[in-house]
Formats: sequence, C-alpha cells, structure tokens
Amino acid sequence: MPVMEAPTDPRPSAAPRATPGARVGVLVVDDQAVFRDAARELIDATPDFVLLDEASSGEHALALADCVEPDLVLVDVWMRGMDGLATAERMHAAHPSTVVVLISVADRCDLPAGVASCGAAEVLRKQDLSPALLRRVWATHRGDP
Amino acid sequence: LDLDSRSGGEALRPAQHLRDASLSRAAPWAAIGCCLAFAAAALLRTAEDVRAPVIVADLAGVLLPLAVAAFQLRRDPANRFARLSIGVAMLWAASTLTQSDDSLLYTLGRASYWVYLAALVYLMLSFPEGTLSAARERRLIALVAGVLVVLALPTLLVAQFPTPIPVASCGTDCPANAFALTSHNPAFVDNFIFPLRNLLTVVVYAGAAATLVDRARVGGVVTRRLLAPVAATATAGALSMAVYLGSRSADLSGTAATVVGDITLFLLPAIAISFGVGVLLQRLYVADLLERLARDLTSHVSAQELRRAMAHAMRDPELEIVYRTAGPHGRWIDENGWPVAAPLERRGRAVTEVRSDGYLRAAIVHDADLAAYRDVVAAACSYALTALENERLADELAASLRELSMSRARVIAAADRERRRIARDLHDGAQQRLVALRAKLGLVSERSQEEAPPIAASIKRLEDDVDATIDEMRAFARGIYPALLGQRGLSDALRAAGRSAAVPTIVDAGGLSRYPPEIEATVYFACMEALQNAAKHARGLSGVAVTVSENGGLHFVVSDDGAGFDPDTVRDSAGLTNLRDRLAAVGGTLEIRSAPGAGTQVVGDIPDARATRRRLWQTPAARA
Repeated sequence: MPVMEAPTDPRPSAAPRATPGARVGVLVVDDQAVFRDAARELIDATPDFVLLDEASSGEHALALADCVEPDLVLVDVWMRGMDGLATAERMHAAHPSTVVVLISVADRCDLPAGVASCGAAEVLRKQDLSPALLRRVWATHRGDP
Repeated sequence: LDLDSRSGGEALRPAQHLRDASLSRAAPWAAIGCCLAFAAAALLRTAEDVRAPVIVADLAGVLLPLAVAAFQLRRDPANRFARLSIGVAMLWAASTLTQSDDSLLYTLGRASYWVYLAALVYLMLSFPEGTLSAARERRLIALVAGVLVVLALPTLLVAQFPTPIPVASCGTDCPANAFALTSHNPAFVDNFIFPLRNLLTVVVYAGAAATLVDRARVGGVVTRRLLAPVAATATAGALSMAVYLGSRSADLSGTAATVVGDITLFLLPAIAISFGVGVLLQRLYVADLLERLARDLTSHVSAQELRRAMAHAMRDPELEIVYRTAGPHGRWIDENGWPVAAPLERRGRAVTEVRSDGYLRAAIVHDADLAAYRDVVAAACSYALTALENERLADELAASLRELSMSRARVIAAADRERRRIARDLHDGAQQRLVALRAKLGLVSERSQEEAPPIAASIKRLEDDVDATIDEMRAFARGIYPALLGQRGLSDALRAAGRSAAVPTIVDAGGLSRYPPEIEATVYFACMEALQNAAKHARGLSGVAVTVSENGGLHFVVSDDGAGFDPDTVRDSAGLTNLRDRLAAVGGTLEIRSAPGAGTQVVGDIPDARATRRRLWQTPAARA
C-alpha cells in the first residue's frame, strides 16, 4: 500500500484556487437592488473579475454558492432576515476556501463586534469599493481559508 | 352624609297640631298616674281577705304594662301601642274591683274584666304598632266585640254571677249583680249563653295566639325576634284559658280551677314582659347589626364585599345594593357596574335610599321587615359607602395614572417605531443610492486618471463631496435610530456609541439579552443623553463609564469624573425631563446622583423590563 498518496481533491482547500490568468468569480449579496447594480458595474470594470451571480438575501446566497462556487463573496452587513454576519459565518463554514468580504455603509466602529469573528476576511465600506480595492483584497486573501 | 328614607321624617305641622300633640303627649302619663292610684286604692281596700297570688297579679297586671308603656313613651311620645297598654292596665285595675264586697263595685269590676279580656286580645294582635294590619286580625276583633256586646254585657241585666273568676276573691260567695233585673237566670242564659261565651273566649284566644305564631313564622328577621316571645306567651295564655274554663265548668271551686285560674291572672303581666323582651331582642338585633358591620367592613372594601357585609350584618341574604352614577343623567348600576332598572319596592322587599351631599348615591333593597329601621339601614350603608367611595376614588386615581402612563408609553413606542422606520428608509433609500453613486464615481475616477487626466482632479473632489454627504447622512440616521440597536441589541449599540463618543468612554454592557424595542430604545437614548450631558457640562472630565446590567430588570449607570454639581440647586434640563418621562412610561425610574467635586451618576432602573410589552398593549377592558 502506498504510504503517501497525492490528494484526490483537485482543489484542496489550502491551495490557491484561482491560478494566475484565471478569472475571479464573484457573488454579490445585498437586499438593495441599487447597490447590486453598482457592484455589477464595478466588477464588469475590473479585469480578471467576473460576476457569477447576485443574491438578495443570505439564504439565497448560501444556496447559490453551492452551485456557482464563488471565489469571492461580497456580503452586505445589514440585511433583512438573515443578516450579513450570519451569512458570512455559514458561507465560511460551507466554503472555507471562499474569500468572504463584509460590506457596509457604516464605519467599522458602527458595526457589531461579531464582524471580526464571523469568518469574514475583511470588512469594507461600500463607498470605498473600486477595482483597485477588489484586486488588493483578492491579492491579500486569495487561497486563505 | 345625611340620611333619607322613603317613609321620611315627620312632616312639619302647623302650630295648632303641635299644641294638640303636646296635650296628647301628657295624657298617657296622666293615665299612668291614675292607674297607679286606682290600683293602690283597690289594694288598700281589700288587702286583708285577698290571696297572695291575686295580690301579686293585681300589682303585676298594672305595673308591668305601665312600665313597658312608659319605656316606649319615653322614646316615642305618640306611641299608640303604649297608650293601648295603659288602657288595658286601667281595665285590669278596674277588674280588681271584683275584690270589693260592695255589690255595685263588684259588678263594675266583673264588667271591666270582660272588657279587659276583649281588650287584651286587641292589645296582643296590635303589637307592636298599636293597629291591626291584617283582615284576619280584624275579623278576630270583630268576633271579640260581638261576644262582648251580644254575649257578655247584656247578661249584666239578667244574670247573677254564679261562677267565680280568678281575679275576684269571693269564690262562689260573691256580691249580687247590682244591675240584674231578675233574681234568677233564665235557663237559656245558663245553658246556652254562658257555655257559648266560654267557648268563644277560648276560640278567640286560640285564634289570637295562632295569628301571632303565624306572623312570627312568616315575618322577616326583625319581626321574628319581636313577635316570638308574644306568640309563645299568647299560646300559653290561650292554653291556660281553655284549661281554666274547662275545669271551671267541671268543678266551680276545684283545686284545678283555682290553680289554673291563678295562672290566667298572670296573662297580662306575662304578655307585657314578652312585649318588653321582643323589643329588647329587636334592639339587640340592631346593635348586633352595627357590630357585625363594623367588624366586616375593613377600610379597603369592594362593592361586592360591602354587599356581603350588609347582607351578613342584616341577616338578609337577598339584600341588594344598587348605585347611582353621578351627573345629571345618572343611571342605576349594580355592584359590577352593569346598568340595572331603578330599584322598586315589591312584596317583602323595601328600598332605602342613601344620599350624600344631597345627592342620591345608592339604594338598598332589603327585607321589608327592616323598613322600620331605615335610619339604621341607611346609616350603616352610608358609612359603608364612605369606605367604598374612598376605595373607588383611590382605584380611579390609580387607574387613570396607570392609563396615563400606558398611553404615554404607547405614544413613545409609536414614536420609536416611526424613528426606526425613518432610519431604515434612509438606509435603504437615499443612503444606498449615494453609496452606489460613490462606487460608480470611483470607476469613473479610475478611468479618468488613464483617459482624461485633466478632469481627474475634479472627479476626485466630487468623490470627497459624496463621501462627506454619506457620512452626514449616516450620522443623521444613527441619531434617529441606530441600525445596530434594532439589529443587534443594546450591547452592540452601546459599544459602538462608546467608540464614536466625543469623550473617552468605557462601555460595560456585554452579553445583554434582547428586550422589547421600546425598552432597548429607552435605555439606549437615556445613556446617549447622559453621555452628551457629561461631554457638554462636566468640567474637568477625563472619561465616562456606561454600565448596563441585568438584575431581573435592566439597570444602567452613566458616571463621569467631572466637577459634579448640587442636584438640589440645578433644575432638570428638558432632555432630562424627557428621559424621566420615557423611563416612567416603561415603569422605570431615573435618578441623578451628584455632588460638587464628586462627578455625576445618572442611574436608571426598569424593574419589569420584560413585561413592558404585555403591560403596554393590554387594554383596560382586557384587564378588567
């Protein structure tokens, strides 16, 4: 019996998933259509990033993630029903290799204490989002479980 | 409280009537005097040959009825029954003339004795009012009068008196009838009139006793007590009368006739005593009534308890109390507040009205038997009503305060809901559009740096403007209602507020559970107000500590280490007054503790924080 075997999983959780040159699949989760539109425009304008899908609730996002397997998920903190923290926590538990980023209008200090421990890689202000910021976030956290 | 009753007090009379009244008041006393003198004279005259029981009966038959009559006259000078009693005592005194050896006096005594026997029946039946109330009684008296007029008095003209009577001391050897026109009795008088008279006398006395027993049996609480002794004595009297007349017709001067005859001598004194005992029992009942009422009525009495106490005290389980609502369109309501028909007198039930300050307040529907005691009933009831009124006023005050506090709480809760809605609308609407605008502007900005550098600077300035607008709007929305408070509760909201406060702030509010929104908002805004006050007013301030803890309810303290002040000399600011109101509305309290040089502590307490929602939306109807 072989003592060591190569991992059978083609995408081990610890390994970088988006190899250089491959595009980063993004899932946007926000109950506000206005912002989802803005996010779509932003991602379209960002080279190497592609919008896989949009979700208007946490529950919808978790179901979509199982199908589209996003690399990066942008989750709004304040949502009706399941809020951003709960969504981020479950998303991270179900897809450990996916980079989950919480987004909000509020400053970090106006956000719940739980944002640090819910599995989100980063917390960003919506108004600060730009192609450059997306690339930086991805560069920092890519492959980070 | 003044009292009133349907029977009312005495109507005012003209002066003429007053003079008549005083004359008629003196008459019975004069009669009493005559009676006593008459009895004394009769006794002195015949003392040597009269048997002891007869002497005792002579005196008792005069003195006891007079004593009872005097007792009644003292309380009520117009008492008709007392006058009747005196009349009967006078007849009894006249009957003792039969103890005389003189033929004329003896004859007058015999005639008086007949009238006495008839009057005694009337006296018994007319107790206690002095009048006959029932047809049955009037029929009986008609029979008595018939016997007297047809069978007794006419025999004065024809008959000798062969039979002894108990009150006379002569036995079978008595003076002759002074009025007799014949020396021998016609046979039909001896064989028909006398036996018939004796029989009817027994029938009349038995009928009177039966009537009294019946009245006592069907009578109400008071009547029973009043009549029972008289009914018992009348029964015993009727029995002894029957036995005496029976034994006398068997053997004129036998021992049985003499002994039972002596017993019948004491009929009048015994009746007088039972009148007295009846009146006494009735008095005891009234005293007992008041005592029971005083014992049963505590200072906190409900309408139901009042009714129970009155029913118990008056021994009238069916007693009802109905209340008159105040105002020009007053209605009658029962003890539970339901409208009821106006109380009416009906068979066996009387109505006594209770007034206070000239207004009709209540009516008691009670045993008609107590009608004679309306004063007592009304006094007892008005006393009790005072207690009830006090209790009701206290209840009303408490209820209106409760209602006020609840309506204030509802207003505040409604305002809170509106604030949450506005904050949410801002977040979902304008704020999101601005943020989307800002993100798109970022894209344009990035592109312009590569494609149109000259306008890139202008676009950068636009970005800054939009950022500032977003920040302002965010601060505005947070001031209206922090999203964090609604979403995550007090712990997170207070921590966030502490982080962005204008003065260094330590927040110790970890692990608080969730509370109804009006409670969380109250505590949050109270802490914010205190925090702002500290930042604004506390000189020499280095920091503020906010502590919120759960101790069954919610307890919070905002303390600063500023200069402090003397709370007695500084009036509450509008903000602080508002805070007190807010806390009061959810059943909480707010206290400011401060002293010069000792900093300031704002201490709030909501003891029943979880129940607030339930209390707040409970309608008065549901509560009742």
